[in-house]
Amino acid sequence: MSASFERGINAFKEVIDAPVASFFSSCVHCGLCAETCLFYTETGDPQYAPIRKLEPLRRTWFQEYTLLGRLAKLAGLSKPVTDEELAAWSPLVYDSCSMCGRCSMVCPVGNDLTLMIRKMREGMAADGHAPEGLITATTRAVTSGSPAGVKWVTVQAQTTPMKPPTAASRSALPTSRANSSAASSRRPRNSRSSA
Amino acid sequence: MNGLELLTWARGPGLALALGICVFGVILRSVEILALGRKPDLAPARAVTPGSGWRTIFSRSLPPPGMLRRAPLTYLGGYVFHLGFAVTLFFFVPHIELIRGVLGLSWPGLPNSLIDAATIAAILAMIALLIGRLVDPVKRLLSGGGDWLAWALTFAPLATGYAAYHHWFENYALTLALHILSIELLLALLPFTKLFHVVSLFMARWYNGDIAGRKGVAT
Repeated sequence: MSASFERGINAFKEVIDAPVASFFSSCVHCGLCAETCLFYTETGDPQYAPIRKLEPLRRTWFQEYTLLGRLAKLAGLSKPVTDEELAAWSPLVYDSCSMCGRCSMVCPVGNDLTLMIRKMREGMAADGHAPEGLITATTRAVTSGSPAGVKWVTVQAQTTPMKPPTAASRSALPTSRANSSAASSRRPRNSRSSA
Repeated sequence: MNGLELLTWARGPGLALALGICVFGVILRSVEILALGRKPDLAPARAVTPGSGWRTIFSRSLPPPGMLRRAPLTYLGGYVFHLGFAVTLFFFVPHIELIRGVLGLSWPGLPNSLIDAATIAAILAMIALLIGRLVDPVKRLLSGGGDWLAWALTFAPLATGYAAYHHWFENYALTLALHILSIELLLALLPFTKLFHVVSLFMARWYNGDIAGRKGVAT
């Protein structure tokens, strides 16, 4: 078990509280959450059923926090959550959920699936299974203060007033001048009156 | 052991055993859930909405606008089955007599013809829901052993009860014994299967409404 995977599973265990346990206990797999999920309604692909996106978190709950699940684990009957599985689930938990909350609003047993997705992301991030772009943006935010990685040079370039163009620089940019004059000549003469 | 002996066991020690496991299991599972507790939410609540959780317990029993049309089988099948099952369970005169014997509580029953109709409606709804589960790609993907087990555990008492009432089989004592045993199996396994939603859904709905209420969402 890698250190990051252990961190991820520990984060899963930490985010499971009484509401989450009651939600997983109540699900009867009626599939109504899928009927509201835009990722399912637009694609028709059943893997986007919201409750399915939570499967690794559900198994962690069952194996750690129920007597039956613990007994099954002791007897070697349960399927443990693996690092590879979490990697495979990353597109479902991040890219296929906008946290819009539709599923949480229609679930007939009252499961707040959106909350559980948010909680599951905590474990996924701890295990390093957040999307690459999100990880680098976070790292940049921590190291430089800017998620976009903006440095002083960039700020300076923007705040320093540009020098007025010299004759030499003018002749070096013939196309841009030509374009701008063309654009101004294309402007309709009556554009003011229509405003 | 013949039918009559089995019936005697089912009515006596069997029932006591099943009820004991059921009560123990419900307490165990409820403690398993509630003991996990909740971390204090350090953010101030956006709105003070007392009773938001309690209202959600009731409001979630109705389909949200547009959903009935989107998933008619799930909703209508669900309603017909649950209501038919409840009517049969609580308003069939022999059932009321049994409850009176155990708890001392009783209420007026419904005519047998109505109970018969409710049972048939519940059985047909269950068959329709089973077919729906087998055919619908989402439900098929989600369903596992626990879902089929829950269906079978619920269907058995309805089917055996119907068979016993209509004397489908010559050995009435055996049919009735099987009916009672199927109920006892249902009771004993209820806390440890998906059937536990009959208890936990009240917690889940309450939490959902409470969480939404804190965010300032009307329920």
